[in-house]
Amino acid sequence: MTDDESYVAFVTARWAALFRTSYLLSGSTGAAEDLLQTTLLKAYAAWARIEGMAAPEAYVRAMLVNTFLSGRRRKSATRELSAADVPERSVASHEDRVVERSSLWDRVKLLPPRQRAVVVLRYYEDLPERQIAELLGCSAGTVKSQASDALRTLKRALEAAEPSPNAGPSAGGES
Amino acid sequence: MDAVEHELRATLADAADNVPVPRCDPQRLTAEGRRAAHASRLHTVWWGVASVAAALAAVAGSVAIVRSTDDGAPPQPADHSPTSPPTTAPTKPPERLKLADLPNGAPPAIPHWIDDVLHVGEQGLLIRPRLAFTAGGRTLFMTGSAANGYEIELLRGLHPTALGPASGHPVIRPDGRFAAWETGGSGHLATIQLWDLETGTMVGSRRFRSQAHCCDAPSLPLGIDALGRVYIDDGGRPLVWDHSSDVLQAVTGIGPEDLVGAWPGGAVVRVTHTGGKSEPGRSRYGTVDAAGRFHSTATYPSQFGKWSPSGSSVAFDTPYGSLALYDVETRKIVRVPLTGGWHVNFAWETENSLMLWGVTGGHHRHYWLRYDVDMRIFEIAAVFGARVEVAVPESG
Repeated sequence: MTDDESYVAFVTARWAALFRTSYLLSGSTGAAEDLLQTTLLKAYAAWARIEGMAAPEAYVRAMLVNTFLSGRRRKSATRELSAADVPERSVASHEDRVVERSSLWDRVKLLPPRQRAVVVLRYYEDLPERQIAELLGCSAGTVKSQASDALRTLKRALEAAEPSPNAGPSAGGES
Repeated sequence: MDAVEHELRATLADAADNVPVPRCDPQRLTAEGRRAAHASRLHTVWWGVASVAAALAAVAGSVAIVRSTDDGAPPQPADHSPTSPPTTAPTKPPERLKLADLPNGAPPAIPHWIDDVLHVGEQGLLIRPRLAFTAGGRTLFMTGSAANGYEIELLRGLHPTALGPASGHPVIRPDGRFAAWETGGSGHLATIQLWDLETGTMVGSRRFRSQAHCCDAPSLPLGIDALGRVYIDDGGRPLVWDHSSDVLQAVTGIGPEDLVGAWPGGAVVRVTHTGGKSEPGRSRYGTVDAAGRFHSTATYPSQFGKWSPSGSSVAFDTPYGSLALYDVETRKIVRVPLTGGWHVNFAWETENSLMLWGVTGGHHRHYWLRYDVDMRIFEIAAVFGARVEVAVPESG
Protein backbone atom coordinates (compact mmCIF):
# COMPACT_ATOMS: atom_id res chain seq x y z
CA MET A 1 0.00 0.00 0.00
CA THR A 2 1.42 3.40 -0.95
CA ASP A 3 1.56 6.33 1.45
CA ASP A 4 -1.37 7.93 -0.34
CA GLU A 5 -3.49 4.82 -0.15
CA SER A 6 -2.70 4.34 3.49
CA TYR A 7 -3.52 8.00 4.19
CA VAL A 8 -6.82 7.78 2.30
CA ALA A 9 -7.72 4.61 4.18
CA PHE A 10 -6.96 6.28 7.50
CA VAL A 11 -8.93 9.43 6.73
CA THR A 12 -11.90 7.47 5.44
CA ALA A 13 -12.00 5.27 8.52
CA ARG A 14 -11.41 7.93 11.15
CA TRP A 15 -13.02 11.03 9.65
CA ALA A 16 -16.27 10.91 11.65
CA ALA A 17 -14.57 10.27 14.99
CA LEU A 18 -12.00 12.99 14.43
CA PHE A 19 -14.69 15.39 13.27
CA ARG A 20 -16.62 14.89 16.50
CA THR A 21 -13.58 15.71 18.57
CA SER A 22 -12.90 18.69 16.35
CA TYR A 23 -16.47 19.87 16.87
CA LEU A 24 -16.19 19.63 20.63
CA LEU A 25 -12.99 21.64 20.54
CA SER A 26 -14.07 24.33 18.12
CA GLY A 27 -17.75 24.58 19.02
CA SER A 28 -19.23 24.95 15.53
CA THR A 29 -19.49 22.67 12.53
CA GLY A 30 -17.79 25.10 10.13
CA ALA A 31 -14.86 25.72 12.43
CA ALA A 32 -14.65 22.00 13.15
CA GLU A 33 -14.36 21.18 9.48
CA ASP A 34 -11.68 23.82 8.98
CA LEU A 35 -9.75 22.61 12.01
CA LEU A 36 -9.91 18.98 10.97
CA GLN A 37 -8.91 19.70 7.40
CA THR A 38 -5.98 21.81 8.54
CA THR A 39 -4.89 19.00 10.83
CA LEU A 40 -5.24 16.33 8.18
CA LEU A 41 -3.24 18.42 5.73
CA LYS A 42 -0.47 18.64 8.31
CA ALA A 43 -0.76 14.92 8.84
CA TYR A 44 -0.48 14.34 5.12
CA ALA A 45 2.82 16.22 5.02
CA ALA A 46 4.21 13.99 7.74
CA TRP A 47 2.35 10.81 6.82
CA ALA A 48 5.45 8.82 5.96
CA ARG A 49 6.48 9.27 9.57
CA ILE A 50 3.05 9.02 11.18
CA GLU A 51 2.01 5.79 9.51
CA GLY A 52 5.06 4.11 10.94
CA MET A 53 4.01 4.95 14.49
CA ALA A 54 2.41 2.53 16.88
CA ALA A 55 -0.72 4.68 17.21
CA PRO A 56 -1.21 6.98 14.24
CA GLU A 57 -4.70 8.01 15.30
CA ALA A 58 -3.58 9.11 18.73
CA TYR A 59 -0.88 11.19 17.12
CA VAL A 60 -3.29 12.81 14.66
CA ARG A 61 -5.71 13.48 17.50
CA ALA A 62 -2.90 15.19 19.38
CA MET A 63 -2.13 17.23 16.27
CA LEU A 64 -5.79 18.22 16.17
CA VAL A 65 -5.66 19.57 19.70
CA ASN A 66 -2.40 21.40 19.11
CA THR A 67 -3.66 22.87 15.87
CA PHE A 68 -6.75 24.04 17.72
CA LEU A 69 -4.66 25.65 20.45
CA SER A 70 -2.11 27.20 18.12
CA GLY A 71 -4.91 28.52 15.91
CA ARG A 72 -6.45 30.17 18.93
CA ARG A 73 -3.12 31.66 19.94
CA ARG A 74 -2.66 33.02 16.47
CA LYS A 75 -6.10 34.57 16.34
CA SER A 76 -5.58 36.10 19.71
CA ALA A 77 -2.21 37.51 18.67
CA THR A 78 -3.60 39.15 15.56
CA ARG A 79 -6.82 40.23 17.22
CA GLU A 80 -8.65 38.60 14.40
CA LEU A 81 -12.25 37.67 14.93
CA SER A 82 -14.25 35.23 12.97
CA ALA A 83 -17.71 33.82 13.20
CA ALA A 84 -16.23 30.70 14.71
CA ASP A 85 -15.15 32.74 17.72
CA VAL A 86 -18.67 33.76 18.52
CA PRO A 87 -20.27 31.22 20.82
CA GLU A 88 -23.15 29.60 19.04
CA ARG A 89 -26.50 29.01 20.54
CA SER A 90 -27.52 25.41 20.55
CA VAL A 91 -28.04 24.15 17.04
CA ALA A 92 -31.45 23.14 15.79
CA SER A 93 -30.74 19.43 15.99
CA HIS A 94 -30.08 19.80 19.70
CA GLU A 95 -32.89 22.04 20.68
CA ASP A 96 -35.29 19.31 21.59
CA ARG A 97 -32.81 17.53 23.74
CA VAL A 98 -32.32 17.99 27.41
CA VAL A 99 -32.28 21.71 28.05
CA GLU A 100 -29.70 21.48 30.80
CA ARG A 101 -27.26 19.67 28.56
CA SER A 102 -27.73 22.19 25.83
CA SER A 103 -27.10 24.90 28.33
CA LEU A 104 -24.02 23.15 29.66
CA TRP A 105 -22.69 22.67 26.13
CA ASP A 106 -23.10 26.39 25.53
CA ARG A 107 -21.09 26.99 28.68
CA VAL A 108 -18.39 24.57 27.57
CA LYS A 109 -18.01 26.58 24.40
CA LEU A 110 -17.34 29.67 26.46
CA LEU A 111 -14.41 28.10 28.31
CA PRO A 112 -10.92 29.34 27.44
CA PRO A 113 -9.39 27.14 24.71
CA ARG A 114 -6.91 25.33 26.91
CA GLN A 115 -9.52 24.52 29.52
CA ARG A 116 -11.87 23.35 26.80
CA ALA A 117 -9.16 21.12 25.36
CA VAL A 118 -8.56 19.60 28.78
CA VAL A 119 -12.29 19.06 29.27
CA VAL A 120 -12.69 17.37 25.89
CA LEU A 121 -9.65 15.15 26.38
CA ARG A 122 -10.59 14.24 29.92
CA TYR A 123 -14.35 13.81 29.68
CA TYR A 124 -14.90 12.88 26.06
CA GLU A 125 -11.71 11.12 25.07
CA ASP A 126 -11.29 9.64 28.56
CA LEU A 127 -7.57 10.25 28.57
CA PRO A 128 -5.70 10.09 31.86
CA GLU A 129 -4.22 13.33 33.19
CA ARG A 130 -0.67 12.16 32.55
CA GLN A 131 -1.41 11.57 28.86
CA ILE A 132 -3.19 14.90 28.53
CA ALA A 133 -0.18 16.59 30.09
CA GLU A 134 2.16 14.97 27.58
CA LEU A 135 -0.09 15.93 24.76
CA LEU A 136 -0.41 19.56 25.82
CA GLY A 137 3.22 19.88 26.84
CA CYS A 138 2.48 20.79 30.44
CA SER A 139 2.56 19.14 33.86
CA ALA A 140 -0.12 16.82 35.19
CA GLY A 141 -0.68 19.40 37.91
CA THR A 142 -1.51 22.02 35.31
CA VAL A 143 -3.98 19.66 33.68
CA LYS A 144 -5.58 19.04 37.04
CA SER A 145 -5.88 22.74 37.81
CA GLN A 146 -7.22 23.54 34.32
CA ALA A 147 -9.85 20.82 34.69
CA SER A 148 -10.69 22.00 38.15
CA ASP A 149 -11.06 25.62 36.99
CA ALA A 150 -13.25 24.50 34.11
CA LEU A 151 -15.49 22.43 36.36
CA ARG A 152 -15.79 25.28 38.83
CA THR A 153 -16.79 27.66 36.05
CA LEU A 154 -19.34 25.24 34.67
CA LYS A 155 -20.77 24.48 38.05
CA ARG A 156 -21.10 28.17 38.85
CA ALA A 157 -22.73 28.85 35.51
CA LEU A 158 -25.19 26.03 35.96
CA GLU A 159 -26.08 27.18 39.44
CA ALA A 160 -26.59 30.70 38.22
CA ALA A 161 -28.85 29.45 35.45
CA GLU A 162 -31.00 27.34 37.77
CA PRO A 163 -33.77 29.10 39.62
CA SER A 164 -32.75 29.06 43.26
CA PRO A 165 -35.27 27.51 45.66
CA ASN A 166 -34.66 30.52 47.89
CA ALA A 167 -35.04 32.97 45.10
CA GLY A 168 -37.54 35.66 45.75
CA PRO A 169 -37.85 39.26 46.69
CA SER A 170 -34.93 40.76 48.53
CA ALA A 171 -35.00 40.97 52.26
CA GLY A 172 -36.10 44.58 52.13
CA GLY A 173 -39.06 43.63 50.03
CA GLU A 174 -40.37 40.95 52.30
CA SER A 175 -43.74 41.56 53.55
CA MET B 1 -18.21 11.05 40.50
CA ASP B 2 -19.14 14.67 40.89
CA ALA B 3 -22.54 15.49 39.42
CA VAL B 4 -21.08 18.18 37.18
CA GLU B 5 -18.48 15.77 35.85
CA HIS B 6 -21.17 13.22 35.15
CA GLU B 7 -23.34 15.78 33.40
CA LEU B 8 -20.36 17.11 31.48
CA ARG B 9 -19.47 13.67 30.20
CA ALA B 10 -23.05 13.11 29.04
CA THR B 11 -23.22 16.58 27.50
CA LEU B 12 -20.09 16.12 25.45
CA ALA B 13 -21.20 12.69 24.26
CA ASP B 14 -24.58 14.13 23.39
CA ALA B 15 -23.12 17.05 21.44
CA ALA B 16 -20.71 14.78 19.59
CA ASP B 17 -23.35 12.20 18.76
CA ASN B 18 -25.79 14.72 17.40
CA VAL B 19 -23.56 16.90 15.29
CA PRO B 20 -24.08 16.24 11.57
CA VAL B 21 -20.80 14.90 10.24
CA PRO B 22 -19.93 16.36 6.83
CA ARG B 23 -19.01 14.07 3.98
CA CYS B 24 -15.45 12.88 4.00
CA ASP B 25 -13.52 13.58 0.81
CA PRO B 26 -10.11 11.97 1.27
CA GLN B 27 -9.16 12.42 -2.38
CA ARG B 28 -9.63 16.15 -2.11
CA LEU B 29 -7.61 16.17 1.09
CA THR B 30 -4.88 14.22 -0.62
CA ALA B 31 -4.82 16.69 -3.47
CA GLU B 32 -4.79 19.62 -1.06
CA GLY B 33 -2.09 17.90 0.95
CA ARG B 34 0.05 17.67 -2.12
CA ARG B 35 -0.56 21.30 -2.86
CA ALA B 36 0.34 22.25 0.68
CA ALA B 37 3.41 20.04 0.63
CA HIS B 38 4.45 21.61 -2.57
CA ALA B 39 3.76 25.10 -1.38
CA SER B 40 5.87 24.53 1.67
CA ARG B 41 8.71 23.50 -0.52
CA LEU B 42 8.10 26.03 -3.26
CA HIS B 43 9.48 24.50 -6.36
CA THR B 44 10.13 21.11 -4.94
CA VAL B 45 7.97 18.50 -6.55
CA TRP B 46 6.67 15.49 -4.78
CA TRP B 47 6.06 12.37 -6.76
CA GLY B 48 2.86 10.48 -6.33
CA VAL B 49 1.43 7.41 -7.96
CA ALA B 50 -0.76 7.72 -10.95
CA SER B 51 -3.48 5.55 -9.57
CA VAL B 52 -4.33 8.19 -6.99
CA ALA B 53 -4.02 10.95 -9.53
CA ALA B 54 -6.28 9.04 -11.86
CA ALA B 55 -8.81 8.83 -9.09
CA LEU B 56 -8.50 12.57 -8.66
CA ALA B 57 -9.14 13.07 -12.33
CA ALA B 58 -12.19 10.87 -12.09
CA VAL B 59 -13.36 12.86 -9.10
CA ALA B 60 -12.83 16.03 -11.08
CA GLY B 61 -15.72 14.85 -13.15
CA SER B 62 -14.07 13.24 -16.13
CA VAL B 63 -13.53 16.64 -17.62
CA ALA B 64 -13.35 16.47 -21.36
CA ILE B 65 -10.54 18.40 -22.88
CA VAL B 66 -12.34 20.22 -25.62
CA ARG B 67 -12.73 23.82 -26.58
CA SER B 68 -16.09 25.13 -25.64
CA THR B 69 -16.70 25.82 -29.32
CA ASP B 70 -14.93 22.62 -30.30
CA ASP B 71 -13.59 24.29 -33.41
CA GLY B 72 -10.18 22.70 -33.16
CA ALA B 73 -8.40 26.03 -33.12
CA PRO B 74 -4.89 26.18 -31.67
CA PRO B 75 -4.38 27.34 -28.10
CA GLN B 76 -5.16 30.97 -27.56
CA PRO B 77 -2.63 33.50 -26.34
CA ALA B 78 -2.80 34.25 -22.67
CA ASP B 79 -4.87 37.13 -21.48
CA HIS B 80 -2.66 40.22 -21.25
CA SER B 81 -5.43 42.71 -20.95
CA PRO B 82 -4.10 45.82 -19.23
CA THR B 83 -7.45 46.21 -17.59
CA SER B 84 -7.03 42.93 -15.74
CA PRO B 85 -6.50 43.55 -12.06
CA PRO B 86 -2.78 43.02 -11.51
CA THR B 87 -2.82 40.84 -8.44
CA THR B 88 -6.28 39.38 -8.41
CA ALA B 89 -7.15 35.83 -9.29
CA PRO B 90 -8.65 35.44 -12.75
CA THR B 91 -12.38 35.32 -12.36
CA LYS B 92 -13.38 33.48 -15.53
CA PRO B 93 -12.36 30.03 -16.62
CA PRO B 94 -10.11 30.06 -19.67
CA GLU B 95 -11.02 28.61 -23.01
CA ARG B 96 -10.68 24.88 -23.34
CA LEU B 97 -8.21 23.07 -25.50
CA LYS B 98 -8.38 20.00 -27.64
CA LEU B 99 -5.43 17.73 -27.05
CA ALA B 100 -5.60 16.33 -30.55
CA ASP B 101 -4.71 19.75 -31.89
CA LEU B 102 -1.44 19.97 -30.03
CA PRO B 103 1.90 19.21 -31.68
CA ASN B 104 4.31 16.66 -30.22
CA GLY B 105 7.41 17.95 -28.49
CA ALA B 106 10.55 16.65 -26.77
CA PRO B 107 10.17 14.16 -23.90
CA PRO B 108 9.91 15.74 -20.46
CA ALA B 109 13.19 16.62 -18.79
CA ILE B 110 11.56 15.91 -15.45
CA PRO B 111 12.04 12.24 -14.57
CA HIS B 112 9.01 9.99 -14.33
CA TRP B 113 8.31 6.33 -13.80
CA ILE B 114 6.50 3.98 -16.13
CA ASP B 115 5.84 0.58 -14.58
CA ASP B 116 8.68 1.03 -12.10
CA VAL B 117 11.17 2.07 -14.74
CA LEU B 118 12.54 5.55 -14.18
CA HIS B 119 12.74 7.55 -17.37
CA VAL B 120 15.04 10.51 -17.67
CA GLY B 121 14.55 11.93 -21.12
CA GLU B 122 14.56 8.84 -23.32
CA GLN B 123 16.64 6.64 -21.03
CA GLY B 124 15.27 4.19 -18.50
CA LEU B 125 16.40 2.72 -15.17
CA LEU B 126 14.67 0.17 -12.96
CA ILE B 127 14.31 2.05 -9.71
CA ARG B 128 11.41 2.98 -7.47
CA PRO B 129 12.26 5.13 -4.46
CA ARG B 130 9.75 5.97 -1.79
CA LEU B 131 9.57 9.64 -2.70
CA ALA B 132 11.32 11.94 -5.13
CA PHE B 133 11.67 15.67 -5.28
CA THR B 134 12.83 17.71 -8.21
CA ALA B 135 13.49 21.34 -8.96
CA GLY B 136 15.71 23.29 -11.29
CA GLY B 137 16.73 20.14 -13.16
CA ARG B 138 17.91 18.25 -10.07
CA THR B 139 16.16 15.32 -8.48
CA LEU B 140 16.47 13.94 -4.96
CA PHE B 141 15.20 10.53 -3.89
CA MET B 142 14.08 9.65 -0.43
CA THR B 143 14.55 6.00 0.39
CA GLY B 144 14.12 4.00 3.58
CA SER B 145 11.26 3.99 6.03
CA ALA B 146 10.01 5.69 9.15
CA ALA B 147 11.16 2.75 11.23
CA ASN B 148 14.67 2.47 9.84
CA GLY B 149 15.26 6.08 8.86
CA TYR B 150 15.41 7.81 5.52
CA GLU B 151 18.27 8.38 3.16
CA ILE B 152 18.54 11.18 0.60
CA GLU B 153 20.02 10.33 -2.79
CA LEU B 154 20.89 12.68 -5.61
CA LEU B 155 20.14 11.56 -9.15
CA ARG B 156 23.07 12.22 -11.49
CA GLY B 157 22.03 11.20 -14.96
CA LEU B 158 20.64 7.77 -14.23
CA HIS B 159 22.85 7.15 -11.20
CA PRO B 160 21.56 7.84 -7.70
CA THR B 161 24.30 8.94 -5.28
CA ALA B 162 23.72 8.67 -1.53
CA LEU B 163 24.05 12.02 0.24
CA GLY B 164 23.03 11.34 3.82
CA PRO B 165 20.30 10.48 6.33
CA ALA B 166 17.17 12.56 6.77
CA SER B 167 14.26 12.64 9.14
CA GLY B 168 11.96 14.66 6.90
CA HIS B 169 11.37 15.73 3.34
CA PRO B 170 14.01 17.86 1.66
CA VAL B 171 13.43 21.26 0.13
CA ILE B 172 15.21 22.21 -3.08
CA ARG B 173 15.84 25.80 -4.14
CA PRO B 174 13.88 26.54 -7.34
CA ASP B 175 17.09 26.80 -9.37
CA GLY B 176 18.15 23.35 -8.15
CA ARG B 177 21.48 24.47 -6.68
CA PHE B 178 20.89 23.87 -2.96
CA ALA B 179 18.75 21.59 -0.85
CA ALA B 180 18.10 21.40 2.87
CA TRP B 181 16.55 18.83 5.16
CA GLU B 182 16.29 17.88 8.77
CA THR B 183 18.41 15.04 10.03
CA GLY B 184 16.72 14.74 13.37
CA GLY B 185 18.27 14.91 16.77
CA SER B 186 17.72 13.83 20.29
CA GLY B 187 15.10 15.24 22.62
CA HIS B 188 14.32 18.81 21.62
CA LEU B 189 17.43 19.17 19.48
CA ALA B 190 16.96 19.37 15.74
CA THR B 191 19.56 19.53 12.99
CA ILE B 192 19.15 21.16 9.60
CA GLN B 193 21.67 20.48 6.84
CA LEU B 194 22.29 22.50 3.69
CA TRP B 195 23.68 20.70 0.65
CA ASP B 196 25.18 21.95 -2.60
CA LEU B 197 23.61 19.75 -5.26
CA GLU B 198 26.08 20.87 -7.90
CA THR B 199 28.99 19.34 -6.01
CA GLY B 200 27.03 16.86 -3.93
CA THR B 201 28.60 18.17 -0.72
CA MET B 202 27.20 19.42 2.55
CA VAL B 203 27.92 23.11 2.98
CA GLY B 204 26.54 23.60 6.45
CA SER B 205 24.82 21.99 9.38
CA ARG B 206 23.03 23.68 12.24
CA ARG B 207 21.86 22.10 15.46
CA PHE B 208 19.33 24.00 17.50
CA ARG B 209 16.86 23.63 20.29
CA SER B 210 13.56 23.00 18.58
CA GLN B 211 10.31 24.42 19.77
CA ALA B 212 8.39 21.86 17.75
CA HIS B 213 6.03 20.11 20.07
CA CYS B 214 5.73 16.37 20.19
CA CYS B 215 2.64 16.47 18.05
CA ASP B 216 3.21 19.57 15.95
CA ALA B 217 4.63 19.24 12.48
CA PRO B 218 8.38 18.64 12.76
CA SER B 219 10.97 21.37 12.20
CA LEU B 220 10.78 21.71 8.47
CA PRO B 221 13.01 23.63 6.11
CA LEU B 222 10.52 25.40 3.86
CA GLY B 223 12.71 27.22 1.39
CA ILE B 224 16.12 28.60 0.46
CA ASP B 225 16.66 32.12 -0.87
CA ALA B 226 19.26 33.43 -3.33
CA LEU B 227 21.72 34.07 -0.48
CA GLY B 228 21.49 30.45 0.59
CA ARG B 229 19.55 31.30 3.73
CA VAL B 230 17.27 28.49 4.85
CA TYR B 231 13.77 29.30 6.10
CA ILE B 232 12.49 26.90 8.72
CA ASP B 233 9.12 26.29 10.32
CA ASP B 234 9.96 25.14 13.81
CA GLY B 235 6.61 24.03 15.16
CA GLY B 236 5.00 27.29 14.05
CA ARG B 237 8.01 29.46 14.89
CA PRO B 238 9.50 31.00 11.70
CA LEU B 239 13.31 30.86 11.62
CA VAL B 240 15.99 31.81 9.14
CA TRP B 241 19.43 30.22 9.15
CA ASP B 242 22.33 31.90 7.36
CA HIS B 243 24.90 29.16 6.99
CA SER B 244 27.68 31.58 5.96
CA SER B 245 27.61 33.30 9.35
CA ASP B 246 25.93 30.35 11.10
CA VAL B 247 23.33 32.72 12.52
CA LEU B 248 19.94 31.21 13.26
CA GLN B 249 17.28 33.71 14.23
CA ALA B 250 13.56 34.27 14.26
CA VAL B 251 11.91 35.88 11.25
CA THR B 252 10.09 38.85 12.70
CA GLY B 253 7.31 40.95 11.26
CA ILE B 254 5.18 37.93 10.37
CA GLY B 255 2.73 35.89 12.37
CA PRO B 256 3.48 32.50 13.84
CA GLU B 257 2.76 29.70 11.37
CA ASP B 258 2.59 32.19 8.49
CA LEU B 259 5.87 31.25 6.84
CA VAL B 260 5.22 29.13 3.76
CA GLY B 261 8.55 29.18 1.95
CA ALA B 262 11.12 31.26 0.17
CA TRP B 263 11.71 33.04 -3.10
CA PRO B 264 15.07 34.33 -4.35
CA GLY B 265 14.59 37.65 -2.54
CA GLY B 266 13.66 36.26 0.85
CA ALA B 267 10.61 34.76 2.49
CA VAL B 268 7.06 33.98 1.39
CA VAL B 269 4.32 34.20 3.99
CA ARG B 270 0.64 33.49 3.85
CA VAL B 271 -1.77 36.36 4.11
CA THR B 272 -4.19 35.71 6.90
CA HIS B 273 -7.34 34.19 5.55
CA THR B 274 -10.19 36.62 5.97
CA GLY B 275 -12.73 35.61 3.36
CA GLY B 276 -14.97 32.67 2.75
CA LYS B 277 -13.92 29.11 2.26
CA SER B 278 -13.82 29.49 -1.49
CA GLU B 279 -11.25 32.27 -1.33
CA PRO B 280 -7.99 30.94 -2.75
CA GLY B 281 -5.90 32.85 -0.25
CA ARG B 282 -2.91 35.06 -0.89
CA SER B 283 0.81 34.96 -0.31
CA ARG B 284 3.05 37.89 0.47
CA TYR B 285 6.66 37.76 -0.61
CA GLY B 286 9.33 40.09 0.67
CA THR B 287 12.90 40.57 1.76
CA VAL B 288 14.39 39.55 5.08
CA ASP B 289 17.09 41.83 6.47
CA ALA B 290 20.18 40.82 8.44
CA ALA B 291 18.26 41.15 11.68
CA GLY B 292 15.63 38.71 10.42
CA ARG B 293 12.95 41.34 9.85
CA PHE B 294 10.50 40.67 7.00
CA HIS B 295 9.79 43.57 4.62
CA SER B 296 6.85 43.03 2.31
CA THR B 297 7.29 43.46 -1.44
CA ALA B 298 3.94 42.41 -2.91
CA THR B 299 1.31 39.68 -2.90
CA TYR B 300 -0.12 37.17 -5.35
CA PRO B 301 -3.49 35.44 -5.10
CA SER B 302 -2.55 31.94 -4.02
CA GLN B 303 -1.02 30.23 -1.04
CA PHE B 304 0.37 27.47 -3.21
CA GLY B 305 2.36 29.19 -5.92
CA LYS B 306 5.41 27.59 -7.47
CA TRP B 307 8.31 29.86 -8.28
CA SER B 308 10.16 29.56 -11.57
CA PRO B 309 13.87 28.64 -11.31
CA SER B 310 15.05 32.25 -11.49
CA GLY B 311 12.17 33.58 -9.42
CA SER B 312 10.80 35.73 -12.23
CA SER B 313 7.29 34.30 -11.99
CA VAL B 314 4.97 32.20 -9.91
CA ALA B 315 2.56 29.61 -11.29
CA PHE B 316 -0.57 28.80 -9.37
CA ASP B 317 -3.98 27.19 -9.66
CA THR B 318 -7.00 29.43 -9.95
CA PRO B 319 -10.29 28.63 -8.25
CA TYR B 320 -11.42 27.08 -11.52
CA GLY B 321 -8.59 24.59 -11.54
CA SER B 322 -6.85 26.29 -14.42
CA LEU B 323 -3.40 27.81 -14.20
CA ALA B 324 -2.23 31.39 -13.97
CA LEU B 325 1.19 32.99 -13.89
CA TYR B 326 2.16 35.97 -11.79
CA ASP B 327 4.97 38.05 -13.24
CA VAL B 328 7.17 39.41 -10.48
CA GLU B 329 8.51 42.32 -12.57
CA THR B 330 5.23 43.62 -13.96
CA ARG B 331 3.14 42.28 -11.09
CA LYS B 332 0.54 41.18 -13.59
CA ILE B 333 -1.27 37.90 -13.88
CA VAL B 334 -1.44 35.92 -17.08
CA ARG B 335 -4.03 33.25 -17.43
CA VAL B 336 -2.89 29.97 -18.99
CA PRO B 337 -5.51 28.90 -21.52
CA LEU B 338 -5.95 25.36 -20.34
CA THR B 339 -9.19 23.67 -19.54
CA GLY B 340 -10.10 24.05 -15.92
CA GLY B 341 -9.91 20.99 -13.73
CA TRP B 342 -7.97 18.88 -16.19
CA HIS B 343 -4.45 18.86 -14.88
CA VAL B 344 -3.58 17.07 -11.68
CA ASN B 345 -0.38 18.93 -11.06
CA PHE B 346 2.30 21.00 -12.68
CA ALA B 347 5.99 21.80 -12.33
CA TRP B 348 8.55 24.12 -13.84
CA GLU B 349 10.76 22.24 -16.27
CA THR B 350 12.92 25.24 -17.16
CA GLU B 351 12.60 28.97 -16.72
CA ASN B 352 10.48 29.10 -19.86
CA SER B 353 8.55 25.88 -19.75
CA LEU B 354 5.92 24.68 -17.40
CA MET B 355 4.99 21.00 -17.40
CA LEU B 356 1.44 19.94 -16.68
CA TRP B 357 0.42 16.41 -15.96
CA GLY B 358 -3.11 15.09 -16.06
CA VAL B 359 -5.36 12.20 -16.90
CA THR B 360 -8.16 12.43 -19.42
CA GLY B 361 -11.50 11.35 -18.14
CA GLY B 362 -12.72 9.48 -21.19
CA HIS B 363 -9.75 7.33 -22.11
CA HIS B 364 -7.73 7.58 -18.90
CA ARG B 365 -4.61 8.44 -20.79
CA HIS B 366 -1.86 10.18 -18.91
CA TYR B 367 -0.52 13.32 -20.55
CA TRP B 368 2.54 15.42 -20.02
CA LEU B 369 1.94 18.82 -21.61
CA ARG B 370 4.59 21.47 -22.00
CA TYR B 371 3.53 25.11 -21.88
CA ASP B 372 5.98 27.55 -23.37
CA VAL B 373 5.65 30.58 -21.18
CA ASP B 374 7.18 32.98 -23.73
CA MET B 375 5.42 31.69 -26.83
CA ARG B 376 2.26 30.83 -24.90
CA ILE B 377 1.73 27.58 -26.73
CA PHE B 378 1.28 23.98 -25.67
CA GLU B 379 2.83 20.79 -26.96
CA ILE B 380 2.53 17.16 -25.94
CA ALA B 381 5.69 15.92 -24.23
CA ALA B 382 4.47 12.40 -23.47
CA VAL B 383 1.32 10.26 -23.53
CA PHE B 384 0.88 7.05 -21.57
CA GLY B 385 -1.88 4.54 -21.95
CA ALA B 386 -4.29 3.51 -19.28
CA ARG B 387 -2.66 0.14 -18.61
CA VAL B 388 0.66 1.33 -17.33
CA GLU B 389 1.36 2.61 -13.88
CA VAL B 390 2.86 6.04 -14.15
CA ALA B 391 4.49 7.94 -11.33
CA VAL B 392 4.82 11.58 -12.17
CA PRO B 393 5.78 14.84 -10.54
CA GLU B 394 3.08 15.70 -8.06
CA SER B 395 2.52 19.12 -6.72
CA GLY B 396 -0.82 20.57 -7.50
